Amino acid sequence: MNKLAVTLFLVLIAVTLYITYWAARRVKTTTDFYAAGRQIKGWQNGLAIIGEFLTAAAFLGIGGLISFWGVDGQIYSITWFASYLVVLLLVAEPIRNSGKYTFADIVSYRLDERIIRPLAAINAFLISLMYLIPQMVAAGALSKLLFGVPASTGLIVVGVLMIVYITFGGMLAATWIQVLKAMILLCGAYVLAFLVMRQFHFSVNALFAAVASSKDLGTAWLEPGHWPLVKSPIERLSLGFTLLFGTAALPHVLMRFYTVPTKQHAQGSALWSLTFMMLFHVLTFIFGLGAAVLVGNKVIKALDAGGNIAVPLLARTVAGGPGTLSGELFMAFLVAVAFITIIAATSGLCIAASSAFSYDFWFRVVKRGQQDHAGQVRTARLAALAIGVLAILGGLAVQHINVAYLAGMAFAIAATANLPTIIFSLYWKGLTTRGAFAGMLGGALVAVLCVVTGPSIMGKNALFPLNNPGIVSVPIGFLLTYLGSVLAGDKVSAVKYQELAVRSRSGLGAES
Amino acid sequence: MSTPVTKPAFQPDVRVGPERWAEAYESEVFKEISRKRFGFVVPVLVLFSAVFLVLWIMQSMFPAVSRYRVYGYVNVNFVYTMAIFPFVWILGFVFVRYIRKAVYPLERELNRQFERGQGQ
Repeated sequence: MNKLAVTLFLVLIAVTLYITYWAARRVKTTTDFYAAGRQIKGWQNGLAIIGEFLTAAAFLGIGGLISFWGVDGQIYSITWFASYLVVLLLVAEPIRNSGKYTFADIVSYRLDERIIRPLAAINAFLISLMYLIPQMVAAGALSKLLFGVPASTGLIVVGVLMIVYITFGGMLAATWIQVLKAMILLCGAYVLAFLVMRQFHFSVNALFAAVASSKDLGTAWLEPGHWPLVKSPIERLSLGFTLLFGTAALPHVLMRFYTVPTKQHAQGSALWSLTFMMLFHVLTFIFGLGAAVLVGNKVIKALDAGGNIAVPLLARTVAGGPGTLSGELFMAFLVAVAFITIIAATSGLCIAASSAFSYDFWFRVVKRGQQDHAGQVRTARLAALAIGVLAILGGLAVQHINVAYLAGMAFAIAATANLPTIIFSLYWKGLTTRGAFAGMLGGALVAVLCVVTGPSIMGKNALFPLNNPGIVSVPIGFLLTYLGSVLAGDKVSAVKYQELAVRSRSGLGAES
Repeated sequence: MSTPVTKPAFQPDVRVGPERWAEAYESEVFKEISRKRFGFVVPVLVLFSAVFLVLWIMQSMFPAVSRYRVYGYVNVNFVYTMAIFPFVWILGFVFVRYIRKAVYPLERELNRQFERGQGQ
């Protein structure tokens, strides 16, 4: 067991538990629990948003991917980063202007709430859970790799901490833990990039020359087309397209825009998140190629076929090497940060899933909006607890199976089922309840069907040829929503559209 | 006009009937807000999508162009990819500046008209 990493991890855990204690004393109302009291500033929310997105996949995964397959791995960096421009242009401000806690507020605003809200809640719940379970499994695998403890122990620790953060501190605790994590992560990333580039006299060309002249690597690492997953033009296009536009429909990302006090802050937070994402993602090629050259991708592969150990090993190498205090300390620091990264990311997903159940389903549908604040907060806490337990049990049940496809499926459902309804709700007068129903249910089924019959599950016997179905499924989602709407008119929806359009574009009557 | 059967997602601060929203929706100020928003967002989204499309097409179908070295081992693919970062950020920054300068004053005007009950 890496004792140094465990010690640093425990220090960070102590800080996050103090944040939770501080937040728990302030969470009194549903707005405190679901939206952090709408007191988060734009730059703070920007950091919290990138906290949601800089998961282990971004911090450890992209570096490992680039070290194994070269610059093709940058597709994740640029698309995840650029997806926030889509969020900024299309949804950040309208969502803040016209909703309260969840994305279902928007899609059920002008439609029949009794039909659309439960459907939106189920979608949000499934998307969050599909994202959550792979994160839990990854946490287990990483804890084995980084700390040397059994995977199930790591998974349970992450699950328990997530439950504690959300049950007691709600969105307020989740936000400040994300802010803390994002700041530490960015600082760690810049120190690492500095130490790596120092080895190459701060010359990108020198780094590339080292890659090109390495006997295990070569110029193929500097050119696109090396990674088999994106060798086909359609596959590359589909992956990029899904990542670019799917983010704008992820429930846990959209929820973040309710934590700020005004539309200006919502817009500002999207720009801040774009800025912080850029600051991180411009460095990923340094981590990946640096690890491939300085650690050696054969060494990395021998230790972890997934490549997640590449960045921590690189940190140890450039900070003094194995066996040195500085090397071991820096590696331990990054390992601890990586683990905090996972816990913070799972917390954001947990609150999105619990609000889908407790607010959208229980409060709005079952209780028909008739429950006091204390009762709502109690339900939300119980829902967070239940979802945490479900995620732990789900993670333990599938920890020996490759469930990476679940995250891809979550993205596909968000982009196919939710995005058309959100966009049409905000910008198209003709949307009807039937159209939204067809788009959300049909879109989710199409997305799941494409992934289940695709190569990521069926391998060579795949009936659907693409690993990432977005380029096919998203247009189908839009088409289903459109056809469902034009085939059945809805006067109420058209009247309410005027109200929603004015509210979402001008901020008139927005929640404060 | 009768009250719609669908309930709003929350009880709004401004409690008014649908006819007032319709009035605001039909007002010249709101039309100008929509024109200015879409006049910016649509071309930016088209440009943004085109930039990514060019990158993916170049990477998949024109490998010789991607591999073309600009400086030392630094090739067109790397320069293009890295240029997307500042490009996208600038688009976001300009959008925020534009909205605050060109749209927010109109929104304040709409707000004033709405409060006075003069949507037109």
